[in-house]
Amino acid sequence: MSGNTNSEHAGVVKTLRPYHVWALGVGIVLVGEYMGWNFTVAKGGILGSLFALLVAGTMFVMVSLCASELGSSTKLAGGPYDWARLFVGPGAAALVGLAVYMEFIALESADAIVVASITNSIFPEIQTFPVTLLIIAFLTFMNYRGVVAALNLNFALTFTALIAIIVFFFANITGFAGTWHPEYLISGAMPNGFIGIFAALQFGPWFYLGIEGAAMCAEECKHPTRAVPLGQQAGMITLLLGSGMTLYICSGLIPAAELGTSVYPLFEAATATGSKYLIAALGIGTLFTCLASANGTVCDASRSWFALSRDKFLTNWFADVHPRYSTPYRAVIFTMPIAIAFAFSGFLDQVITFSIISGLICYVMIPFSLIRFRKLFPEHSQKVRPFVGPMQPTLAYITIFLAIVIMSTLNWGYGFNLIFGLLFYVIAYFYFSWRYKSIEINHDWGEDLGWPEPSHRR
Amino acid sequence: MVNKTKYHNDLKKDAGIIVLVLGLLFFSETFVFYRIMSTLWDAVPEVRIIFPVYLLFLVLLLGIETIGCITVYKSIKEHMYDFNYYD
Repeated sequence: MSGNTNSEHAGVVKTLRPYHVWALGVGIVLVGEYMGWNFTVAKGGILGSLFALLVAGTMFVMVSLCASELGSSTKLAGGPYDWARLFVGPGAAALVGLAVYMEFIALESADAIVVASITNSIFPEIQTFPVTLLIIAFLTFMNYRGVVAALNLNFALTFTALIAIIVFFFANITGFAGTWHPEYLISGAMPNGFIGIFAALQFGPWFYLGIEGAAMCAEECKHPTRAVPLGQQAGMITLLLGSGMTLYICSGLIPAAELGTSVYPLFEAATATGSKYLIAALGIGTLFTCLASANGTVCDASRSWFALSRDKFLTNWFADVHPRYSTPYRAVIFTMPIAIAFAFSGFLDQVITFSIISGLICYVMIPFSLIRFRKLFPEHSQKVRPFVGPMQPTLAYITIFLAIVIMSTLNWGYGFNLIFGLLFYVIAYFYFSWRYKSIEINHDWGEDLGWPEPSHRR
Repeated sequence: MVNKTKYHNDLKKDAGIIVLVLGLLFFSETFVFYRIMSTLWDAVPEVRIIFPVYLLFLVLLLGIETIGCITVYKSIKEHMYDFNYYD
């Protein structure tokens, strides 16, 4: 197995800076503030949503610290897949690769469903499903042709969407945009009691889901030991800012019963203010973040599938690179039927739930990879561990605990989804472990990473 | 030869960005937390029971993020000459 996740990255110019890392992470995740998070309100009311925001936020701060240390140390584009491959084992690596793939594909479907729903609300004569298919096909085609320009555009789209949230928040608290209704909070504080508050945790990750993807550009960074930790932390703070502001605005502008079932809550909150400018800004923001996120997820999911194929966990047929566009075009095209299958259900919460389950698998494996990394390489040298995360591995253990607790809350309302999801990954783990036995592996720490041998081999 | 003045200025810029976004984070999270809790404090009696749990996670979230940012700053300062961060 090679160290690179993608042959495209071999020999790439190392030009990316901290703001690129920020933009990559926030670009995929910011859509979570525009839709999906509000299902926490349906479960546990406003108090449930605040609880989910804080608990999931704490978990993701720790995940991003783990990702910063692992990303700046290994400097590989595969991110969680490569960390599990290097420090845990092949079965775990394939499991994480598949979980990343599923997490992002389900996210792509959710984005496409929301864009189609917005189109349907503007033009009621247009059906939702054909538009969803069209969007998925269009994004697949863009990624087939190459994504550099598209990702640059993503940064602009994301930044616009973020500014829209911040302007909306400050306009609201200064009294320029709508009246904030305390009675909406009181009537929808905790409709399902304490159990509802705890159950709301299941949708909490949606505020930040995918931020670990920021570290996946480490290989292309000019100074990954600076860019990855700085960009990752800046991205995490941006999402925490966005989530708090979004919850505050929406909870005071939309009654909790409507907020809990909304497909595009921020847009509806802007509509409630009656301000034409805010309605336009948040409508554009919703559209932009969905497109930017879906585009980024096609890119990341296809690279993950490509890596699994190249490392022989799947048929090698998917590992082909397009001779002209230099993209893993077969892996890119293969995202389409899977995304359509998710979108076919048409239920946003079901699609989001599978994405969250897949994400939580990663949030167990990322800190576990860090624990293994610290055991294998205890030294804090410039070569092996240039960025030393604080309070590790204690934070890694707490992260695993919180991820498992959040996963368990899916039992309320999505028990079958949880059982199906876990069964799917358990079968995948044993399948990939069995398949891996037939592959001949030569891994040399010195040759691949320039590191000494792990402590137990010295 | 490393331009130490440039390095220190650029390091200050990095630190400035971190302090700015952290400040904004502290303001917005505590503001949102305070407004929601104070609105519900009298109207929903159960809030008083679960308030310590909320406070614990708010402190954890802001505390760990702050420690993380300080660690990032220290790491950049420690390695900036070794890896020529600002060239």
